[in-house]
Amino acid sequence: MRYETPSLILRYGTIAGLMMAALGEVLVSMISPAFKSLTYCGLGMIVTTPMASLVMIAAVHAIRHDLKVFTLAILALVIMITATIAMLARG
Amino acid sequence: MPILLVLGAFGIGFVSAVAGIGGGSLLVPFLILALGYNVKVAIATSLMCIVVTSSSASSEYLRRGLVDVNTALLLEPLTALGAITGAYVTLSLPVNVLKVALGALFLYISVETMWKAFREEKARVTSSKNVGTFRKVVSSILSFIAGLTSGIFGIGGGVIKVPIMTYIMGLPIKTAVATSSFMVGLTAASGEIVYLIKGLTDPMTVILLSIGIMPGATIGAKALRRIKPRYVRIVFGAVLLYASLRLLTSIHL
Repeated sequence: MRYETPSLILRYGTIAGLMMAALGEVLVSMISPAFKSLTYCGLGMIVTTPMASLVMIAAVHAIRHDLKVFTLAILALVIMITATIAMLARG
Repeated sequence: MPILLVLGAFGIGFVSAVAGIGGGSLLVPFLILALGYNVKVAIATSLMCIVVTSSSASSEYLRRGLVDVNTALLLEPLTALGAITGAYVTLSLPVNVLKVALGALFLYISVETMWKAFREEKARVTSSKNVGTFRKVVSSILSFIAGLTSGIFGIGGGVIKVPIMTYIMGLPIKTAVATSSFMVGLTAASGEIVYLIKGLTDPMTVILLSIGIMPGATIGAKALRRIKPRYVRIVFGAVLLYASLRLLTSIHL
């Protein structure tokens, strides 16, 4: 099965995140260190792109009434988010 | 140095896409040994680059329908669960014993993979839908162990996930590579968020490495379609051999 939309999210989410991070770095060196937040927004966008793609895959299967794959996708997302929170709480 | 970063990243992106790995086992030594980066910064930056590699390659794999999403979603939750457990139990385990066991296992799989490449064995199934329940259960348990070892050693899961999918589930090597590449990005993304919040990721290095990784991984993913399965096995076997030697030589007696 081909996944056109999740594929586009992966490609352009990463490119947009990288461009935002690069723009942030340029502005930091030329104007003000306050633009560092733009860099981190870009990096945040890169990191959340695979999860956004997984959400889209879940949506594709929900539309097709394929509840098994939809449930597995949501379960994977919940576990990954829990893992992140657990690692952050650990310090 | 920026040119070296971009060129090195291009090669790592290509090999990672063809072998179905994130590239952490190649990037970390490249950053530490070749460019003198701090270990923690190298690991955090490498993890971000794994996400970029996986996203670039998986984008191509998903578009062409090479990713077996059923298998990915069957194995990913337990891998993530194993990774959390691994991060918690690291200190209470005899690490040297685990390194020997894992190194020996990688060495065996690499030799077996290359042996099969020369004998040109065919895959048993073409999709996870044809895989029996017993094999699915065994694969899920092994995925947990893959996540566990990933959490303990800080290595990418790709080197373990590809053999699980090819040997236990009997999937074709190209499907296993594409599926593993997709899964590695998901696992690395959740880990990288922590490093990003802690401020350990070096943004400029990520940008420079990504300039090389993105075209490298995309070309690698496109090349996978044309490369014969036996050559994919040889590349994967070589990467696994390298990973096993790194593990075995890192043991402190």
